[in-house]
Amino acid sequence: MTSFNMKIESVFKDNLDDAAPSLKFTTVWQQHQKTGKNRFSFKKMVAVPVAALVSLVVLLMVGFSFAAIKDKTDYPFVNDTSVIGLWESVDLLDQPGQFVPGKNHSEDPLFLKQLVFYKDGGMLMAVNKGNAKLSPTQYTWTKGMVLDKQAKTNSKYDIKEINGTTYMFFEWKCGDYTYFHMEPPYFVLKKVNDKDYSDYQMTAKSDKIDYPFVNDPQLLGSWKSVDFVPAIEEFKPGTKLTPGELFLTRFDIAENGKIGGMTSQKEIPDDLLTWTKGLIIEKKGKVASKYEIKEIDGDTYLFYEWKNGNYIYSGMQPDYYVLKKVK
Amino acid sequence: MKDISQEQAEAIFRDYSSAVYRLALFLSKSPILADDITQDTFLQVFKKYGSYDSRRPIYPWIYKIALNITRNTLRRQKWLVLFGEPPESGDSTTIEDRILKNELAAELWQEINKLTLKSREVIVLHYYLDLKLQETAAVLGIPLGTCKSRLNSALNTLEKQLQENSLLILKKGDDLLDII
Repeated sequence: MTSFNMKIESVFKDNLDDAAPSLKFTTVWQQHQKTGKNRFSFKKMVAVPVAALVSLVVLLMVGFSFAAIKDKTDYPFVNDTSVIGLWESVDLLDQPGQFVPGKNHSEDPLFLKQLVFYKDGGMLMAVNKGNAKLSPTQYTWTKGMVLDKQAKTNSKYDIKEINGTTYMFFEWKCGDYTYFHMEPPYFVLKKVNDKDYSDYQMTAKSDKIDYPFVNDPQLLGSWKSVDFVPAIEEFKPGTKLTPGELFLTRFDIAENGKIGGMTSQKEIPDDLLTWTKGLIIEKKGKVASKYEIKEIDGDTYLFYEWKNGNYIYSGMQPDYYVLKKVK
Repeated sequence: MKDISQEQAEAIFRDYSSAVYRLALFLSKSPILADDITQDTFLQVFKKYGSYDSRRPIYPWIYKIALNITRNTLRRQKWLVLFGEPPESGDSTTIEDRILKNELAAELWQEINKLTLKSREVIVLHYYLDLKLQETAAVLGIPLGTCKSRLNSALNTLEKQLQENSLLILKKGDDLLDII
């Protein structure tokens, strides 16, 4: 059996040493000068002492303890057939009593989109981020409570019938509760169905991949990765948005749809990828990624959609590798 | 209270902005949030410079501010924690999975990133920003003993996670010897 000694600091260095802020000193300094002028505003002269007083009261109330709250989470499973099914968020409130059916008090889109409770304590969750779909969560449930054993929270849920509709009032214990001992707000969720999602399979997105080969002489040649960006327009030559070593490091693109290349760890197998004009296709994973070639400041860049698990399972928008043509 | 001069501010920014950014990046896992946290940190540093005790080293003071701002940012960003990792799948179906298997450095990094926020805080301050345990405890605002046990617990978690793959972590520094 082979053993390896690895220093944690060297792993940190490998992954973080290349990271640098895109922020410039002048930006921060100008902001500092701008905000500095209001330093003695009436608002701050009042707000600061009041905040200090409130903090003192809170400190006293929590016994001078700002340690993170750790709720009991080792409850035995007790079934609750009324909770099984799909629930959809309709409001976020400080108190359940504020709920008015049909009225959403929150100005922003509700972070929590859907919750699923299935038999034996399992849960799925979807949040409002891109087209994110239901996916597994660390939450589990037992009658009257949602447990998060990782974050050490137990959140009460209460089910009520209002005007013929079934609603759930679900305590939302995030960091405000855990670290700052604040009262948790309540998500109000409306019951959508009673289905049991025990066998729910995350639908892996698969793309059409049977495209005929169309040549693109512009794509031929070697390309070296320079960045990984959430959107093409966020790439700025000479700066690196994603720190550290990039996973994909090089593409060698040959005629007739052939692609080789390197990752930071291994060579890309010759049979993994193919290309046709506008697309780089991974047949095994049934993924077709668009590419775009752009001339920027005299250099040629390839923007390649990186469709990983976030895209395949959660429906999130893919990020882009940016590769520079090797001259 | 004396205001900070532009020259002083520029020197501090030059010396510490990368470290603050990397700290924020590691904890937030988002380059965009890390930039925001870096900006907010230096705005606070410049604003509160008059209250800084110049007889002491400046970096623990800066890191403490950075850490507080990071925590404040993260508590509003719980979704990042929930969705930082792609969903588990029995079958390796992503391109990364198919190309990269059992790469030990990557695995250690992955496991470090799976630690709780508290564990990651103590690990990054001690191992990456190279703070002594006493300084780490001061930045975290916790007693030295708590800091040691938190670090020990983080290392034990890592060792446990990586044991199956025969990956042994070389623990750092003499200052840990008394807790292992």
